[in-house]
Amino acid sequence: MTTLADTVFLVDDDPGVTTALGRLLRAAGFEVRRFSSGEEFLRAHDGSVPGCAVLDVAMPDLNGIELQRRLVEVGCERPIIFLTGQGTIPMSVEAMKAGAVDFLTKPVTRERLLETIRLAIEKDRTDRLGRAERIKVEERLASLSRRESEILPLIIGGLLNKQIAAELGTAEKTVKVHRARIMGKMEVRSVAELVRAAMLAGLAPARSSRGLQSDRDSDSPACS
Amino acid sequence: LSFLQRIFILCMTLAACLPAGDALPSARAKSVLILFETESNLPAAVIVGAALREALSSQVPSGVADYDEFLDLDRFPEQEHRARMAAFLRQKYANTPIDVVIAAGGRALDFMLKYRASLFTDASLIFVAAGTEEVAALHLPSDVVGIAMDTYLAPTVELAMRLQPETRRLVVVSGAGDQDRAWEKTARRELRPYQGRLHPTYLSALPMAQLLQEVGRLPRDTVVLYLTIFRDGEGRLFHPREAAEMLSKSSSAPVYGVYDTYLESGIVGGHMDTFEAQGREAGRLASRILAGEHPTMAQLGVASADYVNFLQLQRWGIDESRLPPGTIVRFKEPSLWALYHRQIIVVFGLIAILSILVVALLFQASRRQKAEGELAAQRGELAHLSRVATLGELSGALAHELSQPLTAILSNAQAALELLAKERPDLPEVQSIVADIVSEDMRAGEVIRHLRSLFRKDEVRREALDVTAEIAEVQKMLHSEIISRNVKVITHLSPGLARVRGDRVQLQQVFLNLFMNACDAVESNKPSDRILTISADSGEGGAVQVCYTDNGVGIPGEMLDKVFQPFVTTKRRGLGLGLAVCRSIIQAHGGRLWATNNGNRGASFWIALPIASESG
Repeated sequence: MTTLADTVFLVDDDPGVTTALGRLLRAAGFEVRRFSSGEEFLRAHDGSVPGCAVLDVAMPDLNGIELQRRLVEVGCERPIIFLTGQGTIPMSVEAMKAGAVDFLTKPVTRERLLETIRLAIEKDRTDRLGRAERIKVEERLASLSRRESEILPLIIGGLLNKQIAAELGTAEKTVKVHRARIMGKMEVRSVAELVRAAMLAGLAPARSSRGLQSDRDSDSPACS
Repeated sequence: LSFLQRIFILCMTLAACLPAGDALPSARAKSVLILFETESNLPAAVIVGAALREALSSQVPSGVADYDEFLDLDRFPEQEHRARMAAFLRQKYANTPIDVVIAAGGRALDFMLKYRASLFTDASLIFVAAGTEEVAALHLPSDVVGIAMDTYLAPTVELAMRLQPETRRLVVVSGAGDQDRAWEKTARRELRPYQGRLHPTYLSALPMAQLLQEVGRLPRDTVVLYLTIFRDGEGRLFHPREAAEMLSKSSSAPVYGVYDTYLESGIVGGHMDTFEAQGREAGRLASRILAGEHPTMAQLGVASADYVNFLQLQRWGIDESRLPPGTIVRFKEPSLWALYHRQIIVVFGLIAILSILVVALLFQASRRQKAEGELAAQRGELAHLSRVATLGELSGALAHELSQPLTAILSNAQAALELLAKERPDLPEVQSIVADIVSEDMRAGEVIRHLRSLFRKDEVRREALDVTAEIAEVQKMLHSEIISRNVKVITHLSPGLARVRGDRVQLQQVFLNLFMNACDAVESNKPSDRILTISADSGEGGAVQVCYTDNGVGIPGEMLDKVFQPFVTTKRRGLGLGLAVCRSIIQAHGGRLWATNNGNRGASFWIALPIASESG
């Protein structure tokens, strides 16, 4: 289930805690990187390394919750597990809403910790796979011509060639050619596949002549 | 002078009256002559004379002219001396009428009886202090009466035996004079009944030095009965009383005597009548005769009694309880009560009042002490409650402080288990894990120990403390709180500060409280702008000065001192007891706690604590 590349980033101002957790996680087969403060973590963090982060909530200067916010701000989607000695319910709710995998109370047992870390790593893996797919789709989308980019939303919106031609004020035959090119560039064999790829890239189907609508802010780059 | 003048005038008047014959016989003052057989200095004579005159003057208010004459027969026993004395008196009193002649002593009575035909022919004759035997031997005419003096040798020996039941021997001491020999004779006769029991020994007519030696060797179970010594075996003359004194001093056994005059010379006692009583009775008798009465011998006499000298009872260790009832005790200091009972009542009353006052004051003092003790206990109680409340506010931070080492311990232990489960465990790693477990556990233990010391309600102690170390320990405990409150703490703790004498827990409580207050004060600041400064330095007069400064909201001017009053608070939560308790703690340490507003922003809380003395 885990691979050599799975890394747990431990952030706690207490070296006694990170040392101990590190030992435990290494014994369980994880790669471990320890940080004694949020700043240090932010400075040295490599988002391309798969894995999850285990953050102490109460740290001087930059606490765990703020660190999470900063990560979200820079578009890093690393799964986060919080560890706290004095967690409050509002704090945990805030953390979970910001996308934390779990909010664990110290002292945490090996089983609970490992289970949660595996969950987080699984999530990381899924996220990364999804992100890779999306990048591929986005690359293909980028290869479309302007006209093709205009026609694509109309296709996945379920419009017939004739309707598209009427919408764009062009010949049905021309639209047919564009559709074939789009299918080719997007490397799909059916409209259904095209719709899935477009959805993955965040494109919404257009149903009317009023133009394309986006319900997702997809302009933030993937962390790299 | 005026008295002599009056006598002179009286005499003149008498002289003027005499030629007028019996016209005014009663106008002449009655006159009495006391004729002593002894010399004038003999104590017995002095006592008899004084008592007699006193009785006489009290019985005859109009006054009596009295005369004394001394035959001095002990020193001049010759018959020629008596004849000369008779002639002398006859001539001396030729023109001085005497109404009553009082013969003092048996020999004086004998003298008067002998010369009565030619001497004081008109006077009545009475006698005093004459031995009963002598009187009997003189065959008195019926008109001669007087106060006879009995001998009480047997009763004296009885008294001695009663006071000293262990008595085995009786030694009778007397001199070589006529009187002395007369006494010895009487004694030998009267003491015959004691022959078998006490084997009386007679030390008669010895030279004084030898006599004193003899009595100095007597065993303690002896009774010495002293009669008289007018003259010793060497012919030296003594007053019997003086001899009594020498004898008493030298004797190794208690001395008893026959005359009350010996009592003050150191004899233990005896059964006797007194010369004073004799004199008094004689005075009364004389006054009755002057008044024309004719009492008979049967009507006259002096009561006898047992007399003892209290000091001598003490000297010989004789128990006072042995005294027969009715014994007259001389020289016993009258009890102070008898002498000064009024003053004693007043003094004791005052003492009692003062004592009551003292007791009342002591009672009050002890009540005050108790009240102070209760107050101190209540102060301690309040300090404890306030401390517990503060620690309650810190419970989250403290839980975190504990959960850190517990997390490390648990993870380390589980990692070690994992390692050990492997086929070839990395033992050096396991060893370092276990070492970490030990140190983390000790860290947790330290937190718990410190917490427990703060939670405990101990008696207040006083020990020499390094203020900076106490501040540091408090800050260590506050580690998590500082993080969660997101405050920046700057400490300026001068090294090598003098120690203060105080209670560790209470001072830490104050530091804790001031820190928490400062945290509250900066709560509304931006997280990056919450700055607390703690400084410890030596202040004025060698005191240690601690300051907690914040850059928070500050204190309204009029509240600067009020914040130390109980139930006064500028915060939304809290009872407002913290600072009041802090100030009472610091004051109990002899120090001061006060607040100031900073020039720019925020407030400072200052503590000045006196340093521990050298000896402490």
